[in-house]
Amino acid sequence: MSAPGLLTIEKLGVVFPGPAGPVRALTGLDLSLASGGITALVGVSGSGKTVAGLAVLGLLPREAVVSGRLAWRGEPLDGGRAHRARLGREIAMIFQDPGASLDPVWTVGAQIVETVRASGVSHRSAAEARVEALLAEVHLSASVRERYPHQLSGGQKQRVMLALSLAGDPDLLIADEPTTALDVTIQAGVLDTLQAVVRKRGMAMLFITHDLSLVSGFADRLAVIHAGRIIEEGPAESVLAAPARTQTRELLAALPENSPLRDSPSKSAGSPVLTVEALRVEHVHRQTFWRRGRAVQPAVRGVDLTVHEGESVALVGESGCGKTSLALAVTGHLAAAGGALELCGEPRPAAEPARLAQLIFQDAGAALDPRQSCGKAIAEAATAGQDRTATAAGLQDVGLPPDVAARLPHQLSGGQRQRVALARALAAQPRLLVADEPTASLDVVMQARIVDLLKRLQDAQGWGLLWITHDLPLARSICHRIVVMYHGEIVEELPAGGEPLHPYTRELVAMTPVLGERIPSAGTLTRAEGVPPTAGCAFAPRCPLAQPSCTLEKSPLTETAAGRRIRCPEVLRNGGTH
Amino acid sequence: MSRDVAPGGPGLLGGLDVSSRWGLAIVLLIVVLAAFAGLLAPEDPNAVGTAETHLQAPSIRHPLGTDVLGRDVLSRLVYGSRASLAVGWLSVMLAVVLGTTIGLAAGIGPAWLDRTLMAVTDVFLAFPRIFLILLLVAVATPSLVLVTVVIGVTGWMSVARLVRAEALALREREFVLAARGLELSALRLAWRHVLPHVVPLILVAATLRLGNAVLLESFLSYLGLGAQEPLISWGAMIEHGRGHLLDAWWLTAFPGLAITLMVVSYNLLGDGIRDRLDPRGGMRRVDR
Repeated sequence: MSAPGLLTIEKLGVVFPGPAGPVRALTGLDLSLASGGITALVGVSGSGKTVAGLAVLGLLPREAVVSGRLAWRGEPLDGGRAHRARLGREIAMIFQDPGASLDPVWTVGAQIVETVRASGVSHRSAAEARVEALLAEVHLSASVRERYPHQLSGGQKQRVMLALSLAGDPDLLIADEPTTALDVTIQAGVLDTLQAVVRKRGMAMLFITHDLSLVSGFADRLAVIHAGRIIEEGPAESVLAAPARTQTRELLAALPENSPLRDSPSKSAGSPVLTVEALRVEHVHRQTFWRRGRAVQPAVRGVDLTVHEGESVALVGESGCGKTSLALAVTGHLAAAGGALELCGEPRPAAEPARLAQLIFQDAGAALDPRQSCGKAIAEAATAGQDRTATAAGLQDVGLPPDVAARLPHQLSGGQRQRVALARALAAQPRLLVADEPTASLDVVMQARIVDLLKRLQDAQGWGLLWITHDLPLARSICHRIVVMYHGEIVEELPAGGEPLHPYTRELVAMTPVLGERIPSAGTLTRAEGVPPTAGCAFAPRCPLAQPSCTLEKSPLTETAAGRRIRCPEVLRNGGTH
Repeated sequence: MSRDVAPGGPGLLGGLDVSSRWGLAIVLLIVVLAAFAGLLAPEDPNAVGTAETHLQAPSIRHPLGTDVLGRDVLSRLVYGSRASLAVGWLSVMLAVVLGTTIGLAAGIGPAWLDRTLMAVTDVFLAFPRIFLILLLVAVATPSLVLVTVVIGVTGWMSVARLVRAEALALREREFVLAARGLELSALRLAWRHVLPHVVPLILVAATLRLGNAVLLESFLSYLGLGAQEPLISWGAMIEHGRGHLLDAWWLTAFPGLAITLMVVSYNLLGDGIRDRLDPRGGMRRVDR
């Protein structure tokens, strides 16, 4: 191609001044985008992929030192006035957290109208018509206009952001991990809409992510970024089929679907460390000044669960299904409204945390006291008298050098922080570890390392693990058993290698992006958001197998084979097969 | 642009703006005057003059004039700074210790304790402070110690509310949950994981309360309920000069100026520390 493409980046360098010397975020990045088509920019955290996106948008912090050349249709993008003028009209963006970009005090409709009018549509009626068209384009119903951002789900908010970014008819859309905060089913719908819009308009999209399986289904070209430069670039199929660089192969190998199933627990049939029977958790909203009485919102509606020594059990479900409430109840941070809870055979009093059951949080940065050094945090968790040795040993166990002990959490990387949080939890010598999506904020490579570490430590120390996640392939790579939760109830339990039978589990499998497979079309997905609870099966409104009787009567969780339970009359009627 | 203040960042002084540096300088100056009053005061503050030296206007011999008994006003002013400083700092310390303890107990403790302590706080807040102070001081023998205790005991409520609100927010934070999971005692939890995070707030609240405490001390001493002769207090000096407002203005003007200067300095310093420690405060400043 001799004619200038849409966007040309040549030898782009970005350096940030830092307290410990300058930080080189980009070190000579070359990339060019043709008009039309989806390019995925893939790399681990800290590889510079977000900085590259911000540089194109001209949104780098003022202290950043930029070198090299950025050109838009042959004209330079220098961060000046002309560059800013292109934002929205020619270059648009959507980010990971759509909630942060919407103003909470205005309706969604008002915000879209404002953006449409800013993009040059002066007539009120013309603007209204434009808003209708934009909402239809991103598959939102017109009723969304009257709502406020807090009344929308995460997926709906991200669709609103997409509509906003399309208002100026841009030629390039930069999407920085736009679905990371969403559940798989919602993610599939948003991704589908995103690529449909981009294809139909003939726009170009730069999709920034760390997850190759996410983009493998729809990206035309792949650019792998490492240490601030592109190390490999080409058509998506050829890069995935024959990755030339180690870092690309590492990104592929780290995908959970590429890791083997786990062997059965080394000490098989160990005694149970956690027994939960008919556990219920309710969130009570107390009376306010104006309204008396209590509003009770059930989060966990009667769950039976057992975790044995040395065994890993995954609790899989979408956000709002009650999995985090269950984790908090099991670790004694939340009082149960009913049911029984036993740790190592001993009944636990309500809402009393125990050293026996340690919780690992998603965000290790929030779970570590920002004013406490990592060494002190671990020593505090260790039982008295063995502080010093416990700290060193604890750090060594999780693969960190001893000098980490003197550092504060904010001086560490995300992966290192999660290791420190793990070391602290293990220093308390628990028999059960409850991990609430501890790798959700890490990139795939870091995630694979933490998962390997956890497996190795579990085999050596023999505690039970309850792993909470919305990521089914990840659950399969860590756990021996998988328990699927929907709307506060267990709908299916199966061995990690087992074929899922419940329609909800099957939907989760279908919607999870897998390397090289196209994500399913959105036709079946629009109803995935906003589920009305019914007297019968909560999943019935979304279920392809649903019969009229399903909405009237709740079916029990039935054991079909050893280690298999299912709550679905239709599957049972077919003899426990699909 | 707000500066994110990381623990262990640049020194406190480095982040102060010009006006609060002036505040700090004046406070330090007053501290030096009080500490070395014996060396810095030109005369013995309690040396009574002869009939000819009574009520002299400011002159080279007496830069700020003399009072009814012929005592040097400048020297009395220098010595009087001791009472203002001591009562201010000690009463605020008392208020902070009380308020922090009560606030932490309410914020971290069980719900019934929270309700009880907050009810007590509301009662204290609803009771007119001046009336309470006047009552207590009138019943007991007037003294500076009493004034200090009374100002402290009636000034802890805002600190308690501040600390409680912050502790309530902190107890939901994941690092506090993690610490609870280690079966740490409530005392240790409060000391290690909550208190360090409220210290900056307390520091700001305390500095801003100092000016208030100084004013109260002067007020009480003016009423004759605070410092008693031969102890010197700026408030008492104004009271002594009250009868000579027209013929000897220097008896009231200079102690009044000294009180104003001290209160303004404390407030400038407090504002500066707040802007330095509270990112939201910093945003407001730029918007102005």
